[in-house]
Amino acid sequence: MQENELLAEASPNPTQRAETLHALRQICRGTSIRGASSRGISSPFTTQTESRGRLSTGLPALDALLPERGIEPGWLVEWLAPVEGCGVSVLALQGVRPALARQPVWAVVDGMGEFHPAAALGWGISIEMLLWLRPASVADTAWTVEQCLRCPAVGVTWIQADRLPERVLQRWKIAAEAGGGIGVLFRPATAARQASWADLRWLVQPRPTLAHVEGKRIRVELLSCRGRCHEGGAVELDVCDATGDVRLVSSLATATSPRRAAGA
Amino acid sequence: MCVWFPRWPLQRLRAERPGPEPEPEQAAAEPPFVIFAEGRRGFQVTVCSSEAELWGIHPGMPLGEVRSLLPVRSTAAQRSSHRNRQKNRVDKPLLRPVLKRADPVADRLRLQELAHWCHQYTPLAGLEEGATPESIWLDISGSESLFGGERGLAERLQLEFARQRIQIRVAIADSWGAAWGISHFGEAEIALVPAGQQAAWLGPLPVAALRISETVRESLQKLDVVTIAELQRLPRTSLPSRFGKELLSRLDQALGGAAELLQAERLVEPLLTEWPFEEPVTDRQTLDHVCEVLLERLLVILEERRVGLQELVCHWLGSTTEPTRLRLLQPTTQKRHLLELLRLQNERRLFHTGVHGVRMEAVEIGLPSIRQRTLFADEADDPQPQALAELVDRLSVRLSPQRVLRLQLTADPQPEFACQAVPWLAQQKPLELEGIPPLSRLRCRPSRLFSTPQPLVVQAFSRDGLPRQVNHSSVVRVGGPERIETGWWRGPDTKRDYYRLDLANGVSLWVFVDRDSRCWFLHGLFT
Repeated sequence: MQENELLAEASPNPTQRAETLHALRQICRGTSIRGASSRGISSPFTTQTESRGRLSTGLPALDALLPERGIEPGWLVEWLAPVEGCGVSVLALQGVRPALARQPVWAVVDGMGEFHPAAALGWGISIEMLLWLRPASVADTAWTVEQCLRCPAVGVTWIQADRLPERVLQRWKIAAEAGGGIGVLFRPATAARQASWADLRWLVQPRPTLAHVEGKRIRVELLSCRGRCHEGGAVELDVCDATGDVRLVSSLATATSPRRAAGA
Repeated sequence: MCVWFPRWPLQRLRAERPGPEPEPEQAAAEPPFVIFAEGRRGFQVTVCSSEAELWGIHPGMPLGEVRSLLPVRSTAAQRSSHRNRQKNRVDKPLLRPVLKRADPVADRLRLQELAHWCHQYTPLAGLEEGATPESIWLDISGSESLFGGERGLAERLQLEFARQRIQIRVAIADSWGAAWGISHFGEAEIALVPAGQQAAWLGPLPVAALRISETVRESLQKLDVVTIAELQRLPRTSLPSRFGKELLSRLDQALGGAAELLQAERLVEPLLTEWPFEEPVTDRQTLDHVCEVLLERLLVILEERRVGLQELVCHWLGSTTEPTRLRLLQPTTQKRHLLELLRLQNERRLFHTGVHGVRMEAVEIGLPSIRQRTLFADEADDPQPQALAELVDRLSVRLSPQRVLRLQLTADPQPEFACQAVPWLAQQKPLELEGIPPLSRLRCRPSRLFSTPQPLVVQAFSRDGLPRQVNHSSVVRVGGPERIETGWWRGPDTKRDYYRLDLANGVSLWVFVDRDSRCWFLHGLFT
């Protein structure tokens, strides 16, 4: 009996062996971010979110609304906007860079052929590994997105999806989980009423533009997130293209009553 | 040995003309030939026949000037010239030159064919370097004795080419440089330079016989250095600093003092496998199975050679169906991937008529990418480059290569031309960031840009002429203007003032006013 126990200790089971080998690989790589973080070494390029295997949205204010302060690889993220041209893509672009650090290819599925990469380059995203796809039909679009989501090299699949059958979204979800990339979908706000296979849904509301405020103010509401009950979290962000800043609008303290203010 | 084909493009065209060799009298009555190509200053004459030279035409002459030399042809003029010809048949009228655009690819291909044909005299034959070669080199060391010596070989070559209606000049020397110079600038049609005598033969020839660039030639001309002998009199050490490294290198190559790398033409064995059917087949499953078998056979051949498949063509013999063509991002030997692509391509193909056989041909091969594996590396370790290549291949097969693109920003200030789309399957070019605006300016560009600007309906204007209400929403803020004046070389000058309009409903538009028509256009959206 004692001998058997000793033997069992001497020859670890296959799972333990795989884990040991994995750890050894990480140590051999030495310089890799994951390896460094597993040994407790923090990298200047690694956020707290990334070190736990989650990806940042690129905006700390939005990360704070999420249960694990980030999104998981293999998620579909929906951005719902009431009107085109309200600046939702700038918010989504912030999350592209962290995702591309893991998987370098950014696939943009654009049947209309109107995607312009200058803004992305301006926000610090390299377009060297950009895959600009122009499918000619709806069927080709659905197939193309699925292929991109399923590919382990593609970090972000970017698509404007106005009307989609539910089964297509389901297929995309399965493909994203297989590939481990992020699917970023832009849909009209009317789709908020429909059920969705997306893991994370943001509703964007442009705030009235103020003449004296530089940039644009956008309200981002968390509609649903995998692993979290709906709590209705929302933030307001100021986006300034000229300076390249996306800032959380500071909320004012609750106004005290005049009587209390007067010390009465 | 150097075999020079004087005025090669012209000779090729004349030799390719069907029919027997024209009699000397007929040849005299041939129309003058002028071949032109696009040069730095528009279309220019590259080669012209001796008959064309009678019109005053010479290589380098702009095509417009050539046309001005020709008489204007009207019906009346034609009739009168015909009458004149009828009256005095004794005078030989000058025939109107035939103008033809140069086809350097066809010229080179034909020359390559001739180099292959010359393999019957020597195993090593090749084309001279340069974009428009006119000569073939032959290494005849040891093989000349089989044809009755150097003269015998040269004469035989001349005779054989004359049968093909091709005129040549031949020179045999110790070095390729000397043979080239003597064949081009020597007096005899066949020149045999005795061993070690090339310096004496080259001496009286002009410096152009050294294959030097025009700039160096002009520099030498300014110093009154005309012949190679005069050049040799100059101090050798001063030549590189005065005329560049090329001159000394060419001189040494001609005199046999420096080695020269020559690339020989080799016959490429076609890599193909074939499956003939006893009866015509239209069944797709059968064809798929045959494709799989042929692909396996082809991959076995490729693996023996340690190469991968880059381009594959599958011919459907006896059928009107177009061949299936696969072009890959990088060479591969993966049967699974290739089969998947073949099926993806074939599933959309219709076989109206029976297929008598299938022929699979490797059109292009290359070295497959091999990565050194690391210690403890497993199969799942970094599969990304291969996964990307497979994805691009799949997408290109289904959507077509023109719909799978990479984007490159260019320095063109006109927004619709500021971005260039290149197929992923095309040769990869490094991203050029020269002339690209700074990041702060790029951020102010819209993320959606219409390929054609759309007319913008402005409901109200402010006092300074800017839009106050657009799309039933008031304009809260106007950013700009950014003036763009460019594109004069493309047609009418583009004169635009770009503005960013922030509307009250939160939408941001990128619009411009055309400074000529004062019309407003919507060009992009800050989505």
